[in-house]
Amino acid sequence: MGEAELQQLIAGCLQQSRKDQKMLYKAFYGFAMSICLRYAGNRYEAAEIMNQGFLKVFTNLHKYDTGRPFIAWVGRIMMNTSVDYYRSNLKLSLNDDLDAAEDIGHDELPDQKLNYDDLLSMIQQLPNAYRTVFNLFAIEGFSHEEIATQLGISTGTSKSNLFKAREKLKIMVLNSGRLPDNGSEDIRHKIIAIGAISVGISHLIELIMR
Amino acid sequence: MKGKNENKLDQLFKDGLSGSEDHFAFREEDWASMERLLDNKPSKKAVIRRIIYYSAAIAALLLLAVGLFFFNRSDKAKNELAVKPKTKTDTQIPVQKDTVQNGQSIKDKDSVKNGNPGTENLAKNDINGNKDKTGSTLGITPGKHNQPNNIPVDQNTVNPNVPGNKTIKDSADKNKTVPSVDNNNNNNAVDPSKLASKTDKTQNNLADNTTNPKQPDTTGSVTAPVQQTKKDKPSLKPILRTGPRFTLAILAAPDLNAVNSFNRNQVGTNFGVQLGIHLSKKFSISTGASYAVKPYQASGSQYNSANWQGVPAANLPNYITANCKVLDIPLNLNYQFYAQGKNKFAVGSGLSSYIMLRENYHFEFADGSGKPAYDIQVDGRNQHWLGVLNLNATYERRINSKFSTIIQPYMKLPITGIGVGRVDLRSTGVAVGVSWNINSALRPK
Repeated sequence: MGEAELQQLIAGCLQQSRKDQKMLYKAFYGFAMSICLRYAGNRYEAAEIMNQGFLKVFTNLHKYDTGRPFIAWVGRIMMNTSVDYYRSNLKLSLNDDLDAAEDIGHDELPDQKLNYDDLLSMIQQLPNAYRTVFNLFAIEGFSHEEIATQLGISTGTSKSNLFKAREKLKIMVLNSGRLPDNGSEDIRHKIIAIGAISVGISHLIELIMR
Repeated sequence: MKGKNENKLDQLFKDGLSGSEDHFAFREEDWASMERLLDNKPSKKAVIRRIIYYSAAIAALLLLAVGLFFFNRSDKAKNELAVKPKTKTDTQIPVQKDTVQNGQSIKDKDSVKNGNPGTENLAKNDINGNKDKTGSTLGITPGKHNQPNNIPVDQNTVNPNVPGNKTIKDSADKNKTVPSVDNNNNNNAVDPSKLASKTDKTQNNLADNTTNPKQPDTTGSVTAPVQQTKKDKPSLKPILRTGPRFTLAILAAPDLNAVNSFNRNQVGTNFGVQLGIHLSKKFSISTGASYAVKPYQASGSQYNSANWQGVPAANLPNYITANCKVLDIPLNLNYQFYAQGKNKFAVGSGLSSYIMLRENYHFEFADGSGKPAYDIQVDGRNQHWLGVLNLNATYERRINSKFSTIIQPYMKLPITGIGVGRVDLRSTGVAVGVSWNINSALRPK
């Protein structure tokens, strides 16, 4: 999307044009979703967070500083909305005692290629508190001090959560080569497989009947 | 080594997860919910379900409104009808042919109740010579006379002032039962005390005589109080004599079940029998039993199992799918507010007891928690005696003397928490069924 086009859209949105709002929503949908999905436990929550984020975008559009890149502003809003969404259970790390998890050693990570869905599924399996810190630290690049301030936790908790998040992720990455993927996509695949098989069988029966 | 490894892990995720903007195709449903947020409106699905929910409520209200409309009409019809039986009773009174029976009936009443006040009236009348006043006091003193009666009386009282008023003579001629009516023609009668009441009567009669044919409503409203007291008695008598009337209905209903609100609800089924005991024409008690399958969904916070007390919210499932088999025993009082021809309308309310036969729950945890979903089944542990409020409206259409069809929109709102999770499980739906008049079988026509 060109800059001029974007400015036009923003102007339209400021005038509460529903058409322009949709255009803008559509234009930043993928970007916003990619952020929210990292922070969210699942697609539904991600969509909910994203829409709340977009609501903030639309209602605060007049505050947007046109001198800065719009996409960064949207990204920031999405991130903040995500963090806010899970703020209430960011301190629950004590309940999930990671020490109980088996120590698989600190092997070198295999140089396997993990696709986006695998990685997303792994990150989504993390408890909210770990996931949020991991996102902020590893992906957004914030320091522990910044994270601690933003989340209202101590730097110690931030570090601990990051460590535990990494531990969990490492286990998942290492296991991903050996164990069959048990993600949420699995059910969908099964349904498709069953559908395909039944269609195949019906064709077969039809052939036999002839 | 370790730090390097961790950086590699971070890098793996950072690289793998960034640049994924094109990974997501725009979904129209997300925009739909976005629009709702912008409009501050409920979701599309919720709207559809809310339509079902509200339509049930609207249907109930409509039944009520239509019923009331017909009720009012039937009330008028009753009043009109009321005149007829009355005339019959009047004619039985040994009185000569009286063309205007209504006037007669009032006269009868007056002659009993208005004897003395009438004297006073006439006395006043003589002193003041003001006929209009007499007329109006006349209208009030009997007590039984309604406002409309004043008008004809007043109108009438103008006439006697005219000497040789023909109408008075006519009425006097007609009301042969009244002796020495001729005196009334001469309002200056010196000795009115004995005839006073009769004068009043005559005037009353006259009022009715002259005005009634043109104003049937007036007579209706005048006679109605007399009539209704008489009519109420026979309506109760047959019931006292024959005992209550029983009906047995078989009802089935698809109903919507939801927790807290009707936003996220699921369709269940409900079928059962209902016994109606008709205490009077208007009131009936209904009870019975119905077997209901109530599937519903709830969030973790809506589900308050006793076992979950003290467990941190994070360790609790965040989503629950349930399927409960319930024996529903209602006890309702119904008021039939309209019945004419084949159609009957009633509204009812009461309490239901839910006996939970089998409860199946499926618990799901947040995707990130890593906890596996699990199921539980509870058999016959929970009974909620009179724990559910019923609201319903019934439309009944008679097929023949034995059978009627019933359409019954209803709503069941729990007073106590239902099931293991003590959820606020609301149901609404429209029951359709057939009602059988048991008395028709017991008592041949």
